[in-house]
Amino acid sequence: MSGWFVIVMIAVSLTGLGYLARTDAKRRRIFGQIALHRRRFIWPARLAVFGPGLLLVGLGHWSGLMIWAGAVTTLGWAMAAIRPQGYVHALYAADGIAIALKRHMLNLWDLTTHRWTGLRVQLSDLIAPKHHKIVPEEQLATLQNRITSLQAELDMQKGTEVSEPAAPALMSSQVQ
Amino acid sequence: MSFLSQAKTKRLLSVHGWSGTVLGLLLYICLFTGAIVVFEDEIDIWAQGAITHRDDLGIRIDNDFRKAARTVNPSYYDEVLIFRQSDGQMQYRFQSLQPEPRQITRIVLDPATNKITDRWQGASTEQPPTPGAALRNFWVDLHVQLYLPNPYGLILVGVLGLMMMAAAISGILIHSHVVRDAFVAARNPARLVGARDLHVLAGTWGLPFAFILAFTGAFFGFVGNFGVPVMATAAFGGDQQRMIETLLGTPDKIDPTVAPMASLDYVLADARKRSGGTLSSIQIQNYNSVSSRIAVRAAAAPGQLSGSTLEFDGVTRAYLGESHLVGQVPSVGNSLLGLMGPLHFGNFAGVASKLVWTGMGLAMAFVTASGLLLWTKRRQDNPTWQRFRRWIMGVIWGLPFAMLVSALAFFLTLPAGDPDWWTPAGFLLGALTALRMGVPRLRLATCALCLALPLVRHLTGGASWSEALIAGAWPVLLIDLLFLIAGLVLLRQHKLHSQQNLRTMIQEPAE
Repeated sequence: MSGWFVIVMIAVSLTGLGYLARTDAKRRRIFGQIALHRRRFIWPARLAVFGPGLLLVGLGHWSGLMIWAGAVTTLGWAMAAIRPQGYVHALYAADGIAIALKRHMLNLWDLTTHRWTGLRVQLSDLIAPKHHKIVPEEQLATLQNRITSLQAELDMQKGTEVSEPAAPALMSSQVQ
Repeated sequence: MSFLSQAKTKRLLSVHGWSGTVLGLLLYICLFTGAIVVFEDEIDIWAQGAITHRDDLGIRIDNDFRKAARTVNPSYYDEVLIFRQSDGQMQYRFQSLQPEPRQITRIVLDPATNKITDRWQGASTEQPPTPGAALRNFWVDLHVQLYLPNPYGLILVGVLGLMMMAAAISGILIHSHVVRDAFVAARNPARLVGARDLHVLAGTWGLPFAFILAFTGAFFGFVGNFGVPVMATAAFGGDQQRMIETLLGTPDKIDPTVAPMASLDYVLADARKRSGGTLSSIQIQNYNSVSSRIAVRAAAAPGQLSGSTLEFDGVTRAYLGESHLVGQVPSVGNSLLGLMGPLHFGNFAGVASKLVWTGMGLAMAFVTASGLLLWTKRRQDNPTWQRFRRWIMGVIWGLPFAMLVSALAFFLTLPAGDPDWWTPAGFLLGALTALRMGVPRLRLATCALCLALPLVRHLTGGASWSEALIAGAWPVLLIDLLFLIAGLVLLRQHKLHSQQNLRTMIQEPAE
């Protein structure tokens, strides 16, 4: 029970720390996040952070206590050191790694034909994955409209005939 | 809200900064190497490519030991030490206590073949050749005494421990918003405020363990050279013998009458039952005599921090009780003394505690490095400080690189049997090269070495992964994997930096 028990204790403390970091007013203010207007459960979170340590003391599990304390301070530092935007980037990176891994697994059978090139590309993807951002269709349409309007503007400046806009709603304001 | 006046805070900041600046680079070396040598046993197994390693002494060792003892002159029977080397072989060290320096006979026996594989005889002041352990010994020396001669290195490391404690205390006093800023990440590391955030955040989170590591480190640095003589002078009028007798008890009168020794196998079985932990070594006083004593060292039992030493009568094999580091009865001082080692080395719960201690050591090294960079960033208009900043960058990135070069030199010279000289020489060569390289090239070279070392280890006679897996030699796999992960992380960092530089060049084209 010993090893897993300590890991669970560390996880509970990190959950509490994560909540405290996410709802920390100064951190939110500095990194331009909107202030929280809902109630902040500080004491339950503090209990989650320190409770496991007290439990380990109560059980006399001294080696577990030291591992817990060391892991919570080191991982707590890592957690606090990452900026809120960093978590978003990390999610994108994880997404990219997952996609690269999936492609690597699928392409594993194809290595006989493109052995070295394929492997090199896949490894380079794993090391520095490209950000695979999911762009919603709406956003694509807006971008398309913007490109068309810019094209129209350019054509007008050149004195040529204005091309037909793809999305009239957005174009009308641009032409006027 | 600070309880110190502005002038006092400013003065304290000067003390904090200057003390760090003067010895900061040495402290960084000590902390970084310390974080690595937490895994000293695993590094030793990995470097030797040993796949038959075991932590425990085993169940049946009596026959092999007696066979080895018969080949040794009885004048070396005053003290015998038995332990298992990291390559799985048993080492028996027989020594005579008089005259000084002690004379030693060292025998290494392979339990698999029951054959003596190595035999060495000499004075305790000499170092027996241990080519396989050259890498571990060098890295440990670098941490323990900065590879300086004894006692200067130990004293200097002790001073660094005290300095680290002073820096931690002055750091708290200067920065009064420790709790409020506990979650404030660095705003923009390129700016001064961002560099300050980086240092303060790492220092805040690492504070409890900074005290623990600094205090225990200073203790080990000073106890032998200062602690014992000072205590003898202060409390025993300079009589060290009287102090030892008071602390450890008067030694029993030795009866040299020859008597048959009890079976070590029986003693080990008894000790295993009583301690509940792994048995790591045996020490026999006055072997083969009526007054012989057997002390069995047991590692910490599950859930505990420190191990224990169980004493047995060498002839009747009767259990005599647990021996104490100081005094004859259990005491708070004895318990605290027993905690010094586990709290400093982090070796009380196997690889889990070692990983945590390595993480904390690296975090402390980061605090030191970020503090040095912050101090020089504040003085970026001064060319002298900027030259010093380049030195700092060279040492920060150069230390891991030089350590890797020393490992490379070790592996390349191990087959020729001369790594004892080449390992430190490789480090020196790496350090000199590092100081002439810029950070990007240094990062790439470190990355290449991290990725190449597992392969070099294997090509120079080390165990393959399949052999290690079959034999259950996890340290070989663990260290190889850690190097590969470090190499891939550095490669990714290098790619990201290259992309960033390229973007900067595109955005700011040359006129």
